[in-house]
Amino acid sequence: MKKLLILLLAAPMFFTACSDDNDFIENPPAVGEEYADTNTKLTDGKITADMTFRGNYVVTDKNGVKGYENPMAEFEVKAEGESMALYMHSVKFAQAMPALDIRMRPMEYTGAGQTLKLDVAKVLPEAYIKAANSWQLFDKYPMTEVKGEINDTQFKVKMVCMDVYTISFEGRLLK
Amino acid sequence: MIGSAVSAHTDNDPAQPVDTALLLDKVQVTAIKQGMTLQKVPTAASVIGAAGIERRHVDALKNLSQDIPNLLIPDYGSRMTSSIYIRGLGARIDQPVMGLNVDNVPIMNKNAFDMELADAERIEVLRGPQSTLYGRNTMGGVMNVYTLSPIHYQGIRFKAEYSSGESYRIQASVYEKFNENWAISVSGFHNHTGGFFRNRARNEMCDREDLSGGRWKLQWRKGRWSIDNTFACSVLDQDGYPYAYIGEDKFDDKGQLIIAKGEIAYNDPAGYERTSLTEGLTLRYDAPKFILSSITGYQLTDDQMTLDQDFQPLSYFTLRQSLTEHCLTQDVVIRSRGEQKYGWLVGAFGFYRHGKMSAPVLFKRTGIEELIFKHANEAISGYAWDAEAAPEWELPLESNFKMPSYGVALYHESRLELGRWSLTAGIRIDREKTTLKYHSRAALPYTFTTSEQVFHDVAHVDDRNSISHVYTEVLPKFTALYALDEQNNFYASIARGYKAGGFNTQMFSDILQEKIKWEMTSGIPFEESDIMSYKPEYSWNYELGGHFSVCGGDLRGNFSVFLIHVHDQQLTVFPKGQNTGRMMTNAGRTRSAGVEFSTRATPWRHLMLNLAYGYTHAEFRDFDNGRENFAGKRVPYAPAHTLSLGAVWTIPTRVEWLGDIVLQGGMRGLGDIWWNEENSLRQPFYALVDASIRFEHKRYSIDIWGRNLTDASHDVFYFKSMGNEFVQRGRPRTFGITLNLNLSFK
Repeated sequence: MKKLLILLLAAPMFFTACSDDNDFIENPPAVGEEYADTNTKLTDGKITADMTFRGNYVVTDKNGVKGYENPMAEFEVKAEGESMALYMHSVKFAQAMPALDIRMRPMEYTGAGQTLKLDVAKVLPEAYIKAANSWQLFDKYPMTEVKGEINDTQFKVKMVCMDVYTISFEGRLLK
Repeated sequence: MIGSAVSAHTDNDPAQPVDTALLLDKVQVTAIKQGMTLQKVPTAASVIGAAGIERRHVDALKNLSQDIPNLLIPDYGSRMTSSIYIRGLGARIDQPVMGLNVDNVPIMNKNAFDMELADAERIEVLRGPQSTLYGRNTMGGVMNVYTLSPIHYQGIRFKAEYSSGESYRIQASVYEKFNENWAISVSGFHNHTGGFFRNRARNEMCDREDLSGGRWKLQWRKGRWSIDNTFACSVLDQDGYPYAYIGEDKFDDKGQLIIAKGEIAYNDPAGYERTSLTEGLTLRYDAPKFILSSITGYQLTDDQMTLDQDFQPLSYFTLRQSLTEHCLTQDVVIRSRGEQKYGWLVGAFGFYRHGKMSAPVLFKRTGIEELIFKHANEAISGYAWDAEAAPEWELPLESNFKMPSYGVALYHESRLELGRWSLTAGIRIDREKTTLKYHSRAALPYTFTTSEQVFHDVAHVDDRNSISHVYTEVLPKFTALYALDEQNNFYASIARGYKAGGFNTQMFSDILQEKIKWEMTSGIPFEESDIMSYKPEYSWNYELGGHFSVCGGDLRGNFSVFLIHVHDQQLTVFPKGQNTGRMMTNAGRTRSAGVEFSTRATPWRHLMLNLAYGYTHAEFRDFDNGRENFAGKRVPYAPAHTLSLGAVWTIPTRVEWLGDIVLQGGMRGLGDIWWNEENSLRQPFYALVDASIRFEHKRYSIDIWGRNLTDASHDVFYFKSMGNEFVQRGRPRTFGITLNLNLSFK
């Protein structure tokens, strides 16, 4: 009886602790995909393998008006020596724009254990151009204030495009 | 000038006002489904008889606008754009809000609605949902047109008319009754209009029209059996789309004027051609206790629309849309007869429609540069047309469609007579499958230039797919009618209506554009399947009304008050970020509330006065297009007020060969009409004055008439294309003279 009472009293604290982790927006994965339970591709704060995240991608303007949103966006993080490259697949900055594959590299990062932090002042992205079959500099859309964090299987990143649009992504690691 | 009530008087009644409908033929679908007189039916109805049709020059359904309360059929574009608005309901493209039956045959394709009403004997407009008895696309009502019956009339009729705009009209028909059982009629017509509006860029009138056609009607009566067979055909060749640009004057880089405010000026051809055939067979068997009727219909619509889609003297793009559609319909109705307290009706309906459409959009140089490469280079610089590979600067976006659809329905209505009360309950169950099979393709030759190299490539899109939807509808109706006497009654009704869903075929060129852009830049496939279809629209209609006829019929009419809740309303929008094509979307919820009143008075034997008034307040309850919520705004294109006033004064000359002199005068008013969801643009209320002097004899008439005598300037249509605003102006003052000959064999 005493043990049951202690458990019951502890239950709210347990749920509170869980809810602290739940301010992260999580969407279900695509059909055929599974989220990873733990991140084995980030060891001692270093990227040891490519990581693919599925999640919510939002573009808002200076006034906070949403210009575009994709709840099934795909972001990839790849190691490039001591730096990383961030790949944003099929993204748009405005509704009327065609979707592009964009990458930003190289970006310095810091990390420890299974966490990684990203804080880059400015980077010029590249877009994959089919005609050239290569990545071309996307210099009309410089990215600034690129701040991100990988915390085990969760990835959040935010950046400002052309000093006008705020791009944000929250996703979970796929197996 | 419009008869607003029906009664079953015969032609032999000498006291009969000329504008009362003629004897109601029992083989007409109204009689089959609703009974012999609309005066006793709990429906707001307007009826125009032969005399009213002739005096009022109702040559097409759009001539009924304003004369029927809350009805607007604007005359703009071409005969393909037969938009109908009633009680705040309506749509510019695709599915109509009202049904149309001609000699019992339901006209399934709205493209064929704007037809010549040659030798029309009677036109009925039933307002409010008629979905229980008439099915799909009768959410706002139904229009029934009946042509003259050779069983009731035998003779030769001829009509010749000349009017403004170098217009003339010729009709001839023969009606013959071989014996008590057989009768046949044959008629033909030809109309020509030189046009009222000039296209400055092509230096030609842009609303010229030639329309020819004919009808063959066979009727057979023997004992309990009746058979009607009607075959009609028409061929139309029309220039069209006299849309005037209303933005500020536009100039090119060299300061040369491109288009001035108020001008109609587009450089590519635009027009509409149509061939239509209808065949209808009505069988009726009058058993002692029931009536069995069968209505079989076939229609062919074969048309082609050519459009300079930018409506400017620039080479953006053109469209050439061709459609060939076959449609079969079958309606079987069994109805009880007699004076029992309980009456019933059971029916079954089926249809099969197959359409084949080709809708290629041809992009020209300006369109390629401004709409494709300019947007591609906004994302990443370096794209250009590959002039080496394709020196002619033309990009066809090909779209071909097959559209089979079919549906079946069962319906029932019960009527209970309890003294002065008549209670009706009805239900229809409708199931329909509609399919769109499409093949769209384009190939864009382009170059991409970097600092080091020039790449040549072709962006290919070749898509084939099929989309299908199945819809099941349950459409109930409840009415209660209280009869004060044979001619005066009140009624209340609740009914559900629906307008069929469909496909945004006009969006495909837009979709192809996007696919080409995506293919050219990243190669990532573009997928926007959710804009290809739109769902059905539904309504609940609540109505109180009545019919009256007092003072021995010298004052008669009807009135109604209504409230309509619509959800999933279909509205035409230009999709965000796109430049070509229009898309139908389900816009949310709207509400229409209004009143209608029409009356005809004959205060003096030779004077008849008419009044028809309608008011509708139609607003969005919820419509969020992703950028703005239009809740509380008025629904565009639906007029707030419609008004028709008329007076007819008959002066007997007492000279046998001269007959009577009939002086007519009237006013038709309309407005306000809001042109957009924002309600920032509108056409204020305007009035058009018409008048005529007519010499009327039983064998001939000569009519000298004028329309819009004050030359009131007004706009009948507004739209935006590629950020440019256009209107179609209403027709100016017109005059005409019409000769009718009626050589009866009796």
